[in-house]
Amino acid sequence: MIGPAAANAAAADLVIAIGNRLRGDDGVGPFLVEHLQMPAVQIRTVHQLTPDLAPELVGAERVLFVDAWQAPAGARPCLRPLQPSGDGTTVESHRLEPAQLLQVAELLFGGVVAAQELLVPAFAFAHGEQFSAELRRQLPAARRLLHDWLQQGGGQRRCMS
Amino acid sequence: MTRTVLIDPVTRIEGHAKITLHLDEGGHLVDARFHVVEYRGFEKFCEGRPFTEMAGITARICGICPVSHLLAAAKTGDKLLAVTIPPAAARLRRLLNLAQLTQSHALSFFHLSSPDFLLGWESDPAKRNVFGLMAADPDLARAGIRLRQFGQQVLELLGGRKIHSAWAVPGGVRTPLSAEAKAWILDRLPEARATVRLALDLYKRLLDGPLQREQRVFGDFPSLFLGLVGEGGRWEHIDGTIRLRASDGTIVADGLSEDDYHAFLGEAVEPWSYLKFPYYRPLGYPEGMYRVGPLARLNVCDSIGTPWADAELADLRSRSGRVATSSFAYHHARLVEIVACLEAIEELVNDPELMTGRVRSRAALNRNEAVGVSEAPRGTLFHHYVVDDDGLIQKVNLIIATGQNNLAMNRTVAQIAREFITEPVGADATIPEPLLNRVEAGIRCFDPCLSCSTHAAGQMPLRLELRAADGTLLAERCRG
Repeated sequence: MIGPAAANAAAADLVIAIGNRLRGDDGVGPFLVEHLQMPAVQIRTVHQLTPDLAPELVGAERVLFVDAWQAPAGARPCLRPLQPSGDGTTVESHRLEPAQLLQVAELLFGGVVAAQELLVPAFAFAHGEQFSAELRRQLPAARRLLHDWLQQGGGQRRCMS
Repeated sequence: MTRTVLIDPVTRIEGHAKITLHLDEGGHLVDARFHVVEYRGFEKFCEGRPFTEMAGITARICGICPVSHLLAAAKTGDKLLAVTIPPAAARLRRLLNLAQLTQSHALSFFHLSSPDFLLGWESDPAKRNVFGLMAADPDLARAGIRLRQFGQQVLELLGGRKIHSAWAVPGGVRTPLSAEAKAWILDRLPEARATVRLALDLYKRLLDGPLQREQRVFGDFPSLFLGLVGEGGRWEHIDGTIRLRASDGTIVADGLSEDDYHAFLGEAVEPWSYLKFPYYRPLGYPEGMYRVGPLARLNVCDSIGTPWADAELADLRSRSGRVATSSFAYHHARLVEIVACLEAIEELVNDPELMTGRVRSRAALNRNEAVGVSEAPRGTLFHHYVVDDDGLIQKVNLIIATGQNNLAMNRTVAQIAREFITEPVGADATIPEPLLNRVEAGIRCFDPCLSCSTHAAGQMPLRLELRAADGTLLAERCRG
């Protein structure tokens, strides 16, 4: 939960986990950050990205989006840099892509932030809180990438092999 | 041979729908239908659950207005417990609903509809969105985003999360207002006020200029209007009684209790939509068409009760009449309601009882049947539960705002299509994008939430079909 102080002042690092814990593998982002407690890191858990998240990026030095990924066969968890962009197949008022949210933050609020996304290959999105066996096998690698980002600052594209 | 135009999916609304325009053998429009093509069945799968879970379950119907279901379910739970909730809890629930109305109206006006007003009905559809708005008027886009953020943040400060909070419970609420939350709200209120002032000034200039035709043809017809009113006929959003007012200003029914909704509301069904068609029972179906939502609330009330909002209500009435009959006036009504909400929020957060008082009454189950009501951003919401002696749900009926506007949405679409299809449509018809957008915009006046009204999931693209008299599909245009 964001407190009133946090509502006014962003932390240095912001982690935005995207997904629904009730829709199988889609909940992997919120699951990975569920027990994170670091004083300089603000955690946000959302079902989808909306424009009103943009002001919260202002003042953050780094932001990490953690999301489920309908990946090609054989893909592994991946940490990759993001640039602001207004492009996209669709622009919806309450379902932005991370790059679109970065664009809103930069253009309207002056929020220039080093951004990356941690993508975790996901396989099953049916109702329920259980992850698929395939996703469970990806969790250790995803945790390592998250840990690396938190500890080192990331910056480069890295995919687990 | 009669024919049909199909718009599928409808965009910039909450859910998934299509529109069909039916032509006669001469190529003239004879009917328009707004089809809701998704289904979830919450009323069925809630059966067997404890009534205490209903607030949490039904809030999941929607990600935009979960607070409406939370409050209606909590109020229904109050009645099953047969308790009077503490005064502080009643005021805290009001505060929650005011924040929700603010954030939802801000989303509808700034994010969904203002691109049409500011960029033009015939502008590039790829840019007619929040990014286009950012390019055309960054100050307005920024202010709109911050206003929605304000409402969302108040929800989180009260309920612990922006979406799907379980803060309101049968008997009251879980926690009082914190000093930190009060300070944050008071700090941000001036900016929120400035934003809605900016939007009202802009919107009135547009009403006086390029939007005059839309006011006339976007669903301007007589109907009943239904909403809650408080003491003295004041604007109300969670308590009070139900009033129906006709377009000529006559109060058709007043002081109605939600407990008796079966006596005055019927629910018709049509084979071509999952969305039901509620109607005012004494007038029958479909003559009993009525509208709910921000425009209805302003039409049924006598006053709002706060100075700026009452001034804005007077201005709206000076432009649109004592009862505004154009569905396009929903947009103006949303802005007036944001003013009302901000003034009421300021009054409430300065009430010391919200921070110190008892906030929950506890009791065992004392009744087996109850109906709760609240005003959702899109209109009046009814929850009706029947439970067994263990408090397990036996039957649920949810009457949702968007459903109640269903007949009026169909009529609005038909009126717009008649205005903009000026020539007989030939067999080789195509659907021009500006027609598609105006028909969609007619639906967007109501800010429908199809996730709620069918209790359904998913995005809300739009499809428009043009069909001949024998049902042959002549043309279609899809978006989303």
